[in-house]
Amino acid sequence: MKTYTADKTCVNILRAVALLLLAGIIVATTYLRPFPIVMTILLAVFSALCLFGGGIWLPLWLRSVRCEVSDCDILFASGVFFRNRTVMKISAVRHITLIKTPFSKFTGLNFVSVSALGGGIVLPFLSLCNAEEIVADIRQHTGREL
Amino acid sequence: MTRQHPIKILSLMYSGVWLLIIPLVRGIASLDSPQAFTVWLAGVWLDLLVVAFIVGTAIVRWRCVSFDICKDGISFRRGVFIRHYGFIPTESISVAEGEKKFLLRPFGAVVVHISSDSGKANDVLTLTMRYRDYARLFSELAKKKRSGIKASYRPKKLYLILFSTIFSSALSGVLFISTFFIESGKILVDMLEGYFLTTVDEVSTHLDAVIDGIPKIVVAVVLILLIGWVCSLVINLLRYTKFRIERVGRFVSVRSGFFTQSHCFIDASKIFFADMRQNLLMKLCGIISVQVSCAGYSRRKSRIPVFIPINKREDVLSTMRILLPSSEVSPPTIKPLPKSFFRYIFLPVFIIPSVVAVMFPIIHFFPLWKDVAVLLSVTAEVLSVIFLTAKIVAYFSTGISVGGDTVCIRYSMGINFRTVIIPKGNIAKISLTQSIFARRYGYCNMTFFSASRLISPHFVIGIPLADAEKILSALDSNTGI
Repeated sequence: MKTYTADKTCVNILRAVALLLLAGIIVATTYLRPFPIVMTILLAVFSALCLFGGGIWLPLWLRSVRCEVSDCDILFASGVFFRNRTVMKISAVRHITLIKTPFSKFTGLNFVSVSALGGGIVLPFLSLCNAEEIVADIRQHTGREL
Repeated sequence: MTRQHPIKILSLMYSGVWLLIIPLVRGIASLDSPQAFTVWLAGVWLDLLVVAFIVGTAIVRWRCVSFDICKDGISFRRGVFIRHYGFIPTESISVAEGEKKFLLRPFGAVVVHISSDSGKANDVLTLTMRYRDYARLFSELAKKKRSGIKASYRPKKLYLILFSTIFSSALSGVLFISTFFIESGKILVDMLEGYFLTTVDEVSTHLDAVIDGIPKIVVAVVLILLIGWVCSLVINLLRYTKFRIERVGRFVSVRSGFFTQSHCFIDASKIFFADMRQNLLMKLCGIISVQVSCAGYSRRKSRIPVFIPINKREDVLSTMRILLPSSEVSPPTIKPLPKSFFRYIFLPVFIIPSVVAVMFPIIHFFPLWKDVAVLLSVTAEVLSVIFLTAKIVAYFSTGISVGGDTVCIRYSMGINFRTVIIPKGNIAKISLTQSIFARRYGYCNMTFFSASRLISPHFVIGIPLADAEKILSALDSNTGI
């Protein structure tokens, strides 16, 4: 049973996306200011969330992400303040999807979605080789084409 | 291949065609000479063409659907331009339901819905059959049930009334009434609105003599909810009257209904889980209602997937042992940790003072709304106390037990209590969540996701982490805890 962790290369990309979003909000509030005090408060809140999220929470969360595939089940664990561990039985798996984004070989933005009758798991931010390995593992353990 | 009952053509026609047909028929009836006919035809030729097109399209659509019932299953063809050829094996049928609707019964037509456990939410084959075809289909299914367990259960009329009373919803009744209002003409709506406002005035006048200062708007809202609830009660009584359930072999046969007589064949092996439900009042009285989750059974939101409408606890357990022996209820072996008690009562304990804290500023800043604010606050406080009581009861009744083949989960949702029995093979996934406090005290919240068409989680609070790990390992083996 191999343990897979999240690809840390996506941290900087996600931080860049958050900063772009924040920049967009700042520009929008500069030109559209119907309620200056409310907009300033909202801007302060968004900025704090982006800085806290990108600077502190995101690296901790990515470090907590862990996936394991065994003969019987698939385990996905994550969480900083609220730790969550999800176990899905291999026998319940109905289909599996590998989601690749552009340049995912370098960005680490690969996702594996495992669906069962009654629920599903998304294994996020995997490196491309890990994602392909997980898909191959699950297919091998289910013993049928998915 | 057999075609559907010709009555189906009427339902395939666009409903607005009657707005054209009725004036045409009236026009024909008023003709008194051949010249008048020519004049009439010159004026309505376009309407006639439209009616002919609509009726013709409906006939074509009717002709393009056909089916054949054989020993192995049911084959069907449908589609006008893009033809679908399908086959549902009998072994894959999870639920076959025959609805003898009141208006279709004089024509000998039955609406049959066949569901399989394919996993798709809308995967239901619906056909309007002649009675003889429906009887043939159900006798083919009945042939599969010659051997095995034979048992039947029929609830008392009093229990059916109790079931309809408890499970009637003011909201569904109000939705039903509002649909009626939308579909009715303006004259009828104006008349009913006049009656309603007069009734509100009369009730307010009577109430003023007893309790001073009840606003009319509150009386109006309560009346609407009451009327809605009564509507829902009547609908449920008519829907579940003559309820009878039989288990023969692999299949469970469920019959019910007064105007629309429904007959369902459910493959017991395809039942995802059994769900025993109680609210606070039912728990105090020791009565239980049992529902089942099965692909295709009561798939419409307005329908309750009833297995046993309502009965005393001991009778329910003994009936379940006979009708659904795979769903045996076992006492909980894993209970919540005492340190998780506050997690149960946190929300109602927060709400009770918050209501008072919100009420006083409203009274201070909006004195005209004082009466409404006080009334709503008192109502909210009473409901919050009931909620708190339910949560305290929930803490003592929550638990999990794992047998050889099934998992029995007892938990609460709001003021409702549920005991769910899920075969181990039907558990899709399990989620363990720990907050900072939970990590400190060594417990977690477990969520079980059972196999079903819709995602249906079963949420249990405060399970010791060590016991949760034991549950996970017991699910992979045939052992219990």
